[in-house]
Amino acid sequence: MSEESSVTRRSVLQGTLSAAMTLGMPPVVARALEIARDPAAAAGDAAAGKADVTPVTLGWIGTGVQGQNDMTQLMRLPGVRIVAIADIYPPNQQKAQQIAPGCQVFDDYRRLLDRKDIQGIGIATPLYLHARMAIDAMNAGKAVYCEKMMAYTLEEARSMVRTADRTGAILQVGHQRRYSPDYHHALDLLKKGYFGPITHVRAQWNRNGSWRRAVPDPNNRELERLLNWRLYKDRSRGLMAELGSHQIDVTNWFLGMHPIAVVGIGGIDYYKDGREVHDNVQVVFEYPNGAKLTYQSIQTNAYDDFAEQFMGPKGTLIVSEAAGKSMMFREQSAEDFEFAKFSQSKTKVGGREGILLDAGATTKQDKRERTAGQKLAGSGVSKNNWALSLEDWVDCIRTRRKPFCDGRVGLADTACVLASLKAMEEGKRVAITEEMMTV
Amino acid sequence: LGTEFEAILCGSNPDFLRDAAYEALEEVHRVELRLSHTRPDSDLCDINARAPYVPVLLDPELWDLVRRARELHARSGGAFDIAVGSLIRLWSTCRREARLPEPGEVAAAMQKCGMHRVHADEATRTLRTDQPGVELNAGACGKGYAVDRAVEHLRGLGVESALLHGGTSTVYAIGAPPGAEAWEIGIRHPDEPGRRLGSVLLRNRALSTSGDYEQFFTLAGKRYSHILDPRIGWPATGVRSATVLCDNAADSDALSTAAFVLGWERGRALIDSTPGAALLMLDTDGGRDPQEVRLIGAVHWKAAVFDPAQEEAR
Repeated sequence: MSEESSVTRRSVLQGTLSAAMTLGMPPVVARALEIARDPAAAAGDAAAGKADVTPVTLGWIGTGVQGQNDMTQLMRLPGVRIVAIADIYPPNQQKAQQIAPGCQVFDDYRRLLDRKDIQGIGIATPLYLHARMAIDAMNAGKAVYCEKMMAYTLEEARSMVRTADRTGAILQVGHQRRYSPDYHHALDLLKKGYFGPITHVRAQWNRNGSWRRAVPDPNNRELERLLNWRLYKDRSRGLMAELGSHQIDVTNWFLGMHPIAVVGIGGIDYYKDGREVHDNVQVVFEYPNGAKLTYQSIQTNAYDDFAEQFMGPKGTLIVSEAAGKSMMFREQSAEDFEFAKFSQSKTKVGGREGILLDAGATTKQDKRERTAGQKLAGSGVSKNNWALSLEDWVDCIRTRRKPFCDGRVGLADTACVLASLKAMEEGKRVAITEEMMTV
Repeated sequence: LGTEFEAILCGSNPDFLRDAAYEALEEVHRVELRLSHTRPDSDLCDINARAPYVPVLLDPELWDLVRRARELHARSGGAFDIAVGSLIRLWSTCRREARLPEPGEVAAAMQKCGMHRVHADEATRTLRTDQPGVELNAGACGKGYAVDRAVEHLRGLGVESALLHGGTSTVYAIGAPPGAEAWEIGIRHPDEPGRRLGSVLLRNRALSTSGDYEQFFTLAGKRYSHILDPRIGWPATGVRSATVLCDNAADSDALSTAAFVLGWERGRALIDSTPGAALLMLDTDGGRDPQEVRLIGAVHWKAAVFDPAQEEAR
């Protein structure tokens, strides 16, 4: 990034960060944005003793790839100690010990819960194990960070929320996009109406790969089902749960509502390797105002990888965790498309705040100048979404506040995913009701 | 890490090997997300952004990487340095603009350059930098580190024969291909990519080459390598390539860069003090016959080519 554009980014950010915007943000994310605006503020925090480094003692259950990534980010937080882990697969135990040297290792997660000094538990186990582990942990007085999707069944998800309500335990679900400064910024643009009312959403997560983990002993059926749990119905809900749940949650969050029905088609059409979950899914969700979300996840072609695209009569907003992929496009008919003029300007125009366009990064798509896409500038926050999500959870433990992405968010998301699976299995339109999301 | 990685696996179960190769490259990708200097939210960029203002806590993996880099920085008398973000930025700009930097620009970049401006506190596992603009860049060792982690993952899966490389300049050999004693790796001619000057037999070892023929730029007939001499702020000159063999790819990657910068005499001394390492250095005969390649020297080469375990068995 050149000096010039980073200066531009900062000056635009200053206009962007209105109080109204940070109000709807997890506190750690809001603070990260303030520090991006004024890096010296972090030093001020430390000097004034405002940076909370109160010791927090954690344990982690499930130390496969996702658990390892989560633990690594936690190990970068001052005051945080991971003192114990639980996993039944020795190679995962060893990797966890590299990440958190000196941690105690258990095969049985319940032994880990017995440790009174542990305040919070992370769960990154196969989906079908989430609920029982989370509920046991909350009943043991622990705060819980549960990876998405929240639970294997709707009743399990409800039961997790009920347990959190009853015990007062902190229950955060791992939809880390809710902790992305860039997503918060995109939502701000959407709420300001630059794209008009959102009538359609298109989202996809496309990959090219079998989704299989390598099994060192191919004849060991038990090991195959352990490592490749995502492929088996009794443990997994497949692509909709493992990938789609993130993007359905983003859509629910951005639109501020839940869908009322879903139709879909999926199949096991390419990887005929004994798997029991679909290797491709295509579903359409209907929202109460008539807006639709069309969602696709395929495993035979990675074009377009992953993004969520919000479409209104004035323009299109594309958001993605992939670097540099978040974009805005105007519709040709949108004469008064308000952000168009910002492509000519590097500073605030018309006193309007909250428009974040990196004019230096303007790209022309399809040679249609009038619909040229504008890249959304980065927020300037140096921490990634996973780090912020976990940091906010730790902050919840320290301050005893409720998480931004709580069990109710996870429950609604679970209801949508499970309804889409039913729609595909039964080949019919399935209603999604408020009742499903009520505990 | 700005380069292509490739994994070649041998064995009897192709499905397993394909999945294992996929996981190895996934591991490379994980390291990339941590070390990238182009992704503003990579862990290394995060450290760079915060360390001028507060001591930044590192997780054990990144701490280990920085610790090793500091060690080699000391051993190489500053010829290897990862705190060169400002210099790399300057020279990338110059390369893009096809010009040489002004002396003032180099001096300004050097003011924000060097491990002596990075303060590490072993007891708290924290890093602090002198001032904004001092930035760590893993360009000279990240590739090798990624290869090492992928190798470790493959070994964990029980893979016994594989070759991994990052951009062909850093390679690690697990075991040997079926029916062979070792993997045969070609050493290329600096100016003719297809011409092989010799080969190295590699087994359970890493090999890295730093050459001025990759990512160079030419101005007024003079070639400027992408490998910078952090002691002076200018591209290193003197040799065409340095090839280092040792027991892991992070070290071979870093040592080949250091040796390239140091030149033959001091590069040789560095390799002499590294157990199990070997060095081979090439130059071309400059003005007289650019095609003529000259072997400046090679040390410890024969003994290091083979797997030590195998040597003992003989």
